Amino acid sequence: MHLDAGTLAAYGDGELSEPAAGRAARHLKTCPRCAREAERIRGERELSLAADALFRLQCVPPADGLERVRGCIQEWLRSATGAGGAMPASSAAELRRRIGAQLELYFGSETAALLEKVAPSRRPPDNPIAAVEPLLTAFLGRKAASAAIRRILEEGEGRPSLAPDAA
Amino acid sequence: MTENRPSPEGTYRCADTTELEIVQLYRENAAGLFRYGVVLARNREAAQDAVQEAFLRYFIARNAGRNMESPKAWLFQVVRNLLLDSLKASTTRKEVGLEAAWSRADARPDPESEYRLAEMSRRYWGLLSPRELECFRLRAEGLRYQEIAEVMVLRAGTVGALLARVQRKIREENEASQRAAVFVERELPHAP
Amino acid sequence: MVAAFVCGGCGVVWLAANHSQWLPLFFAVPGSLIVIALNLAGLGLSVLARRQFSRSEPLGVVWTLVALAAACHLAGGVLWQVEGQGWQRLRMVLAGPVQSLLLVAGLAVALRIYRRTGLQGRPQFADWLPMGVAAGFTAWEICDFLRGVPGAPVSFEQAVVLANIPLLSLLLIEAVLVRRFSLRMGGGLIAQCWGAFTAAILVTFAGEVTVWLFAHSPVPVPLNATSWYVWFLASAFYALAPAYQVEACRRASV
Repeated sequence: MHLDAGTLAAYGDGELSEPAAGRAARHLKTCPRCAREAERIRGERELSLAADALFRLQCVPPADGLERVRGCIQEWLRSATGAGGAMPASSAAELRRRIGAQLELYFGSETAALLEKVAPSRRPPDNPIAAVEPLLTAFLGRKAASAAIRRILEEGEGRPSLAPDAA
Repeated sequence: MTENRPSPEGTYRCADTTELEIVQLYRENAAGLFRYGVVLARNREAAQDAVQEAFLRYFIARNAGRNMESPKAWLFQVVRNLLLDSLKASTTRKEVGLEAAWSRADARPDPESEYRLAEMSRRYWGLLSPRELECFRLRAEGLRYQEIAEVMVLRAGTVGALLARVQRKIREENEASQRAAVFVERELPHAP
Repeated sequence: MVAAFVCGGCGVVWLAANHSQWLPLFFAVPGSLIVIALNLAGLGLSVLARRQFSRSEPLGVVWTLVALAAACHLAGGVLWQVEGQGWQRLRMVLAGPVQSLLLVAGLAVALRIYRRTGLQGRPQFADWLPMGVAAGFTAWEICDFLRGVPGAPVSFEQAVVLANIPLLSLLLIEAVLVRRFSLRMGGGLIAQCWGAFTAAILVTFAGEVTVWLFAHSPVPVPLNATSWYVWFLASAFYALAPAYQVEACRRASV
């Protein structure tokens, strides 16, 4: 039984798990055909990266990109925190309401209150998201939890939610 | 630089720390994100807008206390989703040939580089399907297979198979063009 | 669906009392098909629930074990139709101790996840009752077996039942605890998932106890009917539990 091209590519890129990489290495020692394939794939990878080098050289972002990003961030901070520099209490309360609604759907109506009571030393006080993220991740999986948190944050900002499963 | 903001009810963490993180991340990843955006959208402006928006969303999420396991993969995923959404939504696509989208706006390449770019565009990138192109781009930007799988919503095994196919196509195209060059050299009469 | 089965069960009991010739026919064909269909649904939904998590995530491990248990459950339903002592023994082992052991391991991991959240709370009086019954019944069964041991050969079937009842009791204790922890947080989708699991395990336990009682002393009709249609309910609840998990993940991802 021979190793397929995908496995050989993953082995060459160091992307196989330890046991799988061990098995592949042992097979390559004993199978000349697969060893030749692995060598060929290594050559192909170098060729494709060489083909890419010119593209990388020519395709660069604008030089003022970082300044533009920082400008956007400043603008967002100004609109989020208001003229006085202090966080409007309504925004904080709105964030907690959205978090509570999500927790109620998946776990139940008592969850938000329980999270407040649980040892405060277990969570950093500044981050309500940080308090719920482990719970959502544990019971919904990383992808679904990520989507739920993204919805909590972005819908409140008035930014269009990305579809589907956007980070 | 922003000053520390008092946080009523402890909602937002210090904006300073997050902004420093953004600067670091930008320096490490902006070029790769931009190249990826250009490959997806075939449009420099759309790519740059998506990169900018991705960093802003990163700031918003981190500022509210969100932790990302792999910030790099997260940013690529957001750029992808932003561009795919806008491609679906737009009625007139300002799509250009990949070689024109690559060109630096601030400096015209020399004629030889331009020729080689156009040649490469025709030879290699025309062979690859959009999925293969995207997967290759992400790998070239240093993402691991698992990260590529998360960004493109694939299995990690499929990533390996796609990359192997890309490399094989490039090799076959290279061999074909070498054979053509040898043929031209041998068979066609030289100019007097 | 549960109400339909309960009504169906009552109908079966009435039939048994008055028209016993229809009963074997029902359980032989439509009944078996219903159980197999439910078990198939349970397996499919468990696999779907498993795919919501990566291999490294603890709940991914839980759903892998649950999916394997569902496969054993399905195998048991299919093998019930196959003649032959070997096949029936395989069925008893797969749908008995093997399935129970997989679920015990799965729920143990789920309990550990709840403990890590710090939200687990304590069992209530209403929880101690079924846990006490389970422990008491296991102790009684082991004593009963030990009393009969000297000189008496233990049959394969007896050995399988003896291995399964303590596992089922442990499973019931775990399920009661998981359900209590999840209920403490309110009645969300995740709580309903573990509630369905608890119901499935409770019903299975009741069925096994009835079968055991039936073997030790005659139980009058229609009480012994619980051992007939309880498996429909158990299969239905085993299919319902992963459905809630899948729904929770689906709603989060939309």
